[in-house]
Amino acid sequence: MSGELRRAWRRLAAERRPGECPSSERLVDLVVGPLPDAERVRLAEHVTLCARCAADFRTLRETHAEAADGLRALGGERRAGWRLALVAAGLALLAAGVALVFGDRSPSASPDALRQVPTPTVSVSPPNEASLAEPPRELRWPAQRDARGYTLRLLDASGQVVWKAGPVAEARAELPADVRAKLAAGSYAWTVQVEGDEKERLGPFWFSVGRS
Amino acid sequence: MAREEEFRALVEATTRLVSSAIRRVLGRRHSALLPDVTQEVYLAVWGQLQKGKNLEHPTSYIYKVALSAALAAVRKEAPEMRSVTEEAELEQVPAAALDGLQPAEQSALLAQVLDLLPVEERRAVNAYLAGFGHEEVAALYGWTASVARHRIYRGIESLKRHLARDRGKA
Repeated sequence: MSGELRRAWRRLAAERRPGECPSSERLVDLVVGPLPDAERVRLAEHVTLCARCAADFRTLRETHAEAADGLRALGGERRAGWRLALVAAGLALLAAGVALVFGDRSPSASPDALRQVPTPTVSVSPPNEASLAEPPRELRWPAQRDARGYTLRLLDASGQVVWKAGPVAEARAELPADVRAKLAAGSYAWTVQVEGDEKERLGPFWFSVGRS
Repeated sequence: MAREEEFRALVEATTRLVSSAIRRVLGRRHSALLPDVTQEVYLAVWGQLQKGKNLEHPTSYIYKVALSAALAAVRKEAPEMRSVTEEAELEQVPAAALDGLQPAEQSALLAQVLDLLPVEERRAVNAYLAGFGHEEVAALYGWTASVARHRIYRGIESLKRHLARDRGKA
């Protein structure tokens, strides 16, 4: 019964266009709140009819559920002043987190330094998001200062490592013929672990192979 | 200088939360955007502080900015909006008769019957038929999960009853 109902409902929904999608901020409000009731209903009805917003709603909701502990840990914001001071003093370790996000380019995380963070777009070969007729013969990435070597991982769309190379000395790696032969049509990602005093990862970079 | 100290404290306190929220929304597909989005978030926060704004709930504010910025980044690269029907077409759902009715008749009957339901039940049933579970329906409309479950159940039962009755009239 409900299968037939769903199909009938989908046809019915086709006649009721969902209208313009709400902004990202409004969708976040729908998940995190607060939101006036009338606005919530308006957004919820749109999300019900719009596949894209439905997917975004689900992603935000799952993210929010996972972040709940972290938010609670930093909670009590009505007393944010002193609490933040305590947190700032006690969480010096989190500076490591900043370094993780920004690499070694803005360890101070001062606003001026943030502005100077270069765009993270990295020139690699094949270019990120490239659509290829056949698997690439080699992968190249920019050499990193003070790198002692590089470890490359090639992953399939499910996240399984299909090939690992290195550490290699040069900022490139050739795909062996047997690995290339195994790469069926689909999307692949690759990352490069830079071996040095500070671990840094490049990527993931994506390419798709079009052959069947 | 005080603002800079405040900003630095905020960055240190929220980095992990912000980073994981952004990473989660971006997913593996867009994970390369993490540094860009993170930078955008903290620049926005810095902009607010520079304007002299007093962030009453700074963690919540930064968290929401992070979610919004990450979602906006994904949407910029995502395909255009698709309606649920187009989604259904992608799935190539075969047209099935609702107890012998033609598809157009099914839709017309369903629309007629949905209008007979109390408004909250209609919302619950619409969301349920769109594929949302009862907890998701609860989150959409700000209900408790048990209220959502109850409204879906009652709504579907009423729907079936009305459908049977109205088909009898036809």
